[in-house]
Amino acid sequence: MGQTCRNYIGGKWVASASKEVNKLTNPATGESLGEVAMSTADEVRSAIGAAHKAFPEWRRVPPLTRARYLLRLRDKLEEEFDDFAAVVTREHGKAIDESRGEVRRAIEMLEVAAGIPSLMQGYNSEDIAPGIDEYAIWQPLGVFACLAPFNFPAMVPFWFFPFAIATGNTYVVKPSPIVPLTMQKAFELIEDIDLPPGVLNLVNGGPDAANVLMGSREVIGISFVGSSAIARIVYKTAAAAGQRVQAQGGAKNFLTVMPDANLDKAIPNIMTSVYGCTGQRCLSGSVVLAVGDTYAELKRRMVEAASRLKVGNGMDESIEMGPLTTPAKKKSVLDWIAVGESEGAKLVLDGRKLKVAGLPDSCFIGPSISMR
Amino acid sequence: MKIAQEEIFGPVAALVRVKNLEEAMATVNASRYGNASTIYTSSGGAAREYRYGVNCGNIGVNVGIVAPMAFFPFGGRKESFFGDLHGQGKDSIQFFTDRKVVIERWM
Repeated sequence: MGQTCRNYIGGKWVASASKEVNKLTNPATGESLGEVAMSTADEVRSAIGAAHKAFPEWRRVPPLTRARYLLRLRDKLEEEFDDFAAVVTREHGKAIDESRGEVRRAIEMLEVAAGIPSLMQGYNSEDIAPGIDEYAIWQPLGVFACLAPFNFPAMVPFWFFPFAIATGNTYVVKPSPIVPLTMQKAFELIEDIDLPPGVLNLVNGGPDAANVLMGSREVIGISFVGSSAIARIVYKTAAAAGQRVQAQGGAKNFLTVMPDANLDKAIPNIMTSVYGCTGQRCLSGSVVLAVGDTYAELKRRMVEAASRLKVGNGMDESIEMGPLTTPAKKKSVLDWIAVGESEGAKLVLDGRKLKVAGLPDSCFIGPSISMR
Repeated sequence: MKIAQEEIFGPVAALVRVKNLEEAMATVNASRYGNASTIYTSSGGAAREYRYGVNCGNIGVNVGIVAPMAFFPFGGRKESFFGDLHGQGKDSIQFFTDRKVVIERWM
């Protein structure tokens, strides 16, 4: 059972010829979800080629007409909202309501990018000298691509491609090979909106595919989201190839709690910040700074609230926190906790002991709190 | 301590005691990352000082997840972001376009 992911190139679904595949697993249940091939360099080049070929016609489509395609896709996402969110939870693990939030964000990107007729209007100055006018027009440039992360399989590609195609560019999406099923679903919906072939393309793959996109003279710019170490490499590599780059890296977000904070309201907010999406987001709070005499009370209430969070299969509506997305990601978190202990940190809440009834524990870890 | 400085990407909070707002802000600003930070307070003055002085791309005041709406730019500072134009909003329109300037005289 399970799905074999395909590429979507020039308006057609195509199977990859690559023998290198990633097995896909539901991190909560251990169920096999299928597999994804790491596309060959030629396959990536053919996606770039399709986008390149589509650009001259697409840029001539009036912005308002381009916007209508986005609104059609918005309607498709609304129709398939729950199914789409379920794909995210099955392959990523996050609680279903968090997946719904992510799909809602994707829809909002389409809605905002649909304002493109006003958003890309230029500006002008009349009579810069007698009888001479000067003006600026905003023009699309060609093929853009994104290298998307595993933590928001639906939302992150939508941060970029709606704006890219609204402005008249064409696009290649490369999802994370850990969670490629969400974009399979998204592109099934994209297929239904009748975009001209090649305007939006999908290629699956890992670092090799990314390197083809970053080395291509036909790719104007790269959008990346991931760790700081990789963001730095993407920035250097793509810039060296003369591409525009926006590369979002990692984070360590501090939550400062003042003595005059309203803890009744702050505690649930801190819980969502730290434990939402199982901490796998670049906006997660991860250090809580207790200012002055708030420390003892804050510690007591955080431990109490965090130990009540319900952890399990994100498809269950009552679950507040799902698993981490892969066993390797769980191992990495366990390693960090061990580093903390070796430095003298104490776990006042230890999620390593967590067992979820009826589910394999390969990706689960409970809410944890460390202190000096 | 590394556990309070490095990105763990999991459900782990480090709880750290600081003396005052000044020390809190110095701690935040000593991080090599600069994505988001939040202050919980009922003081407008403290919130203002935090918003002004913390070197992050996104600041929350009594809001723990500072996820900008689609019409605002989203991106961090320091090692949380490489590049100049952020995603979303007007930054996004600029990232995907180039301004062509025309000077025009009809004779």
